Amino acid sequence: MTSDPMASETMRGEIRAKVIELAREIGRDAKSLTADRSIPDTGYLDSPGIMALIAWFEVRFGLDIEQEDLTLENFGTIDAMVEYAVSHG
Amino acid sequence: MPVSVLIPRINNNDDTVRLSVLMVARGAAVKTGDPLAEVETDKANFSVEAEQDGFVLRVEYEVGATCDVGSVLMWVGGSIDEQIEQIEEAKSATAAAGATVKSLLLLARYGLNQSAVPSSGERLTAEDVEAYVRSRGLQPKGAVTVHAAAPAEPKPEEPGRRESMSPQHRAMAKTVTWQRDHAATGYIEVPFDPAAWEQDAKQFRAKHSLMMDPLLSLMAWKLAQLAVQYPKLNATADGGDLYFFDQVNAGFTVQNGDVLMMPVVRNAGGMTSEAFVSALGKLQRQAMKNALKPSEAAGATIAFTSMARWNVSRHVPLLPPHCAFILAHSSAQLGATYDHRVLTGFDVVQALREMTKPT
Repeated sequence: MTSDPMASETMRGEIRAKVIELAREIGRDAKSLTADRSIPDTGYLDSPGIMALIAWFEVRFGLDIEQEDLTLENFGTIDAMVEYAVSHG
Repeated sequence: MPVSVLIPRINNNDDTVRLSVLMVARGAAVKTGDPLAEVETDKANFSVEAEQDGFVLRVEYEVGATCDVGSVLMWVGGSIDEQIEQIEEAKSATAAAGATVKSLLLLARYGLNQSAVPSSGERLTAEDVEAYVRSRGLQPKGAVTVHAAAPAEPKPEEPGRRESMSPQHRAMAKTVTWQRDHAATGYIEVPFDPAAWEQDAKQFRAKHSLMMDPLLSLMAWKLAQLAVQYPKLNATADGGDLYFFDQVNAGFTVQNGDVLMMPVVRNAGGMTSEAFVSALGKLQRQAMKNALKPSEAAGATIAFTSMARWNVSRHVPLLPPHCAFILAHSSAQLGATYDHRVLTGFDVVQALREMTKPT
């Protein structure tokens, strides 16, 4: 996966849009989410929502994530997710 | 020797059917009575079930295919390593014997000798056998049992738009009709204070540095442990018998768009909580990616479902096939739909009370 800053910014935008969409499904507004905030800590997504986000992320960026990799460090923030995709894609 | 499972005839006027649902794949272990596939015409649908225990050696059609009645849908062998070559040898032998493969399979299905059936041409055909069978009103004796599903539903009378269900949607629809057709259900619920469970899940999450809250997974794991402790929870009714499953296969509902799926953690009763949470997490992601293998989405012997995220105060789930108990988790209640042929209300209340607390 490219480390092009513009591409990374596009990824950030896509991930953020997905979080907002998934949050809306359970009646929450995640529009104020920033790329460096911990997604689980914001409470915008519940556990199934985070699971759906990860599943979408795998399909969207062609990744097959090992269960052991599903940590806050790797997926806690939008920035971390972009970094994971860039380094594993 | 592999045994063929044939495409059944649904209506006298239809020589082909559509394969609408395929529930097994190559390598899947099947037991007598297990649903293998569903076929349909415009007028009706039928489920095709295994007549013997074994393993699926090969599937000849893909979902959506138009299949000739009497042709081979799949091959089932007594062991996983039976060679397909045996099938090919059988085909060669039939060709040499002056009969089509389809006709010989039909002969076997009806227990007929080839020499008893007159041929309309150089080789005996499936049509020859079918004509012979029809003229004598014979019933099949072969390796396939075909059970009619519920009678065809009346067609809607108001104008509307028709849209095919996806394979996943069809599978869901089939699953949820088992209760209607076979079980005798009751529903019981008890009040539920999630505080103790939430505390337990919080500690578990911190201990294992988990990305996601494991609350529901831990509850499903405890349900599996209860099923080990109280085997009736992990049983079904089979004719006049109770049938106790050898292992606990925990089904867990997953919403994927507009379809409800049920990945199944096999042998969940023998797992540690850590292994279960990990295995279920993996299956949930597969379900959400529409990437579950058929064997990962079938065979539940007990089930768990939650609608707490939608803030519903109560939901009454339907029993998956051959499950006697499905736990319904809501924000302030724990409920269960159960098969009253297997469990009493007392059994269910006991289980629900156990489930209100983590230990």
